[in-house]
Formats: sequence, structure tokens, C-alpha cells
Amino acid sequence: MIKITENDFSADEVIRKMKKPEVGAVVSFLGIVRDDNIKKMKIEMYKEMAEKELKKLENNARKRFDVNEIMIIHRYGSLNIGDNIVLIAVSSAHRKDAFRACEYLIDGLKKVAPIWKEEIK
Amino acid sequence: MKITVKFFAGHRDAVGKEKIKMNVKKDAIINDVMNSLIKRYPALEQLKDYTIASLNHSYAKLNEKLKEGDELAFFPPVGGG
Repeated sequence: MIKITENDFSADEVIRKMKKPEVGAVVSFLGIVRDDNIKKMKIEMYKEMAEKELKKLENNARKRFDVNEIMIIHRYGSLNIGDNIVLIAVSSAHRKDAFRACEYLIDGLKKVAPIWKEEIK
Repeated sequence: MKITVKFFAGHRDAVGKEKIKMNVKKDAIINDVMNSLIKRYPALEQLKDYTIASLNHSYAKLNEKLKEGDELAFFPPVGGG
């Protein structure tokens, strides 16, 4: 599932909802705003295209890996240091597919999603 | 044919607008639009080598043909996450 939002999200809540009887592993990646002597980070996004590209990426991950659920959340707008930017969470029966799918998804997101970060100093 | 062109990040700054409507000739390709935009907005010229195009929300090559109602977009290399 893909979620594009201006609002903050709870990684804990996403992970908790992925706990199901058939699931043995949940792997997540949380990207946050790092303090590189910046005041804020502005995230710009071509939303319709980002959703479409991320959906394709999710479908490709499902073909490659044996996973249960996939959740990709990406924020846009003006963010402060320490704020959540992106969450990738993957559940599967066994850990290897969850780890591999999670890495595949975040690497793919950086390459294909039309998103631009601007550091405000 | 009428099309919409959107700009993001540095390309939006160069044009000064988020989107414009354009009339293009039948059988026009994306590169034709890019060239006519450079004439209208000379600041785009220096971004040309860093320009990525999308057509109707999918990545597109500069030689792709346009049709009535298309949504074209120009932007620099992406990098979210």
C-alpha cells in the first residue's frame, strides 16, 4: 500500500497492524531529517506520478520476494530536524524476504519516485 | 493540440510557474516542446542536460509523440527518501 501525505505517521502503528498469525518477520526502514546544519527540509513531490511509480515498485517487489504486506509512506512539505520523511515496512513469513524486499523498495524509491529534497539553511 | 506542462524543483524556478497550457502541432514530440519552452524561458537552457521528462505520470523519452490532452512534466533528477 502506498501513502503520500503531508502529515506525520506512526511507524509503531504500521508495524503493529502488520502482526498477523502468518507473519514471522516485519522489517522496516524509517528515513528522518538529519541535522546537516540546516533549519528545515522542504520536500517537493509530483504526487500523481509518485503514487504510480511507487505502486509499480510495490508490484515488482511482490513478484521478486515472498512477502505478505508492504507499506510505503512518504511525506511532502516543510519538515524539521528529526521529523519522519519515509517509512518502508514489509511483513513476511521469514526474515530474508522481508529484509531483501525492504532494501529493494527504499533503493528503488530513491531512483524512481519524483521527489526532491531542498535543505533550508 | 492542447497539452498541459508541469514543472518541478529547479525547472519550476527557471520557468516561474508550476504549470502551463500549450498548443502544439499534430505529431509534435516531447523534444519539440522542450525546445520551444527554452525559447520562451531561456533559464531552462542550462538545465537541459539535467532534464527528465514524464508523460501522463510515466517516465518518457524525448522522442515520444504527444496527443491531445497529454500531461507532460519536466524536472531534474529525483532523490527522495
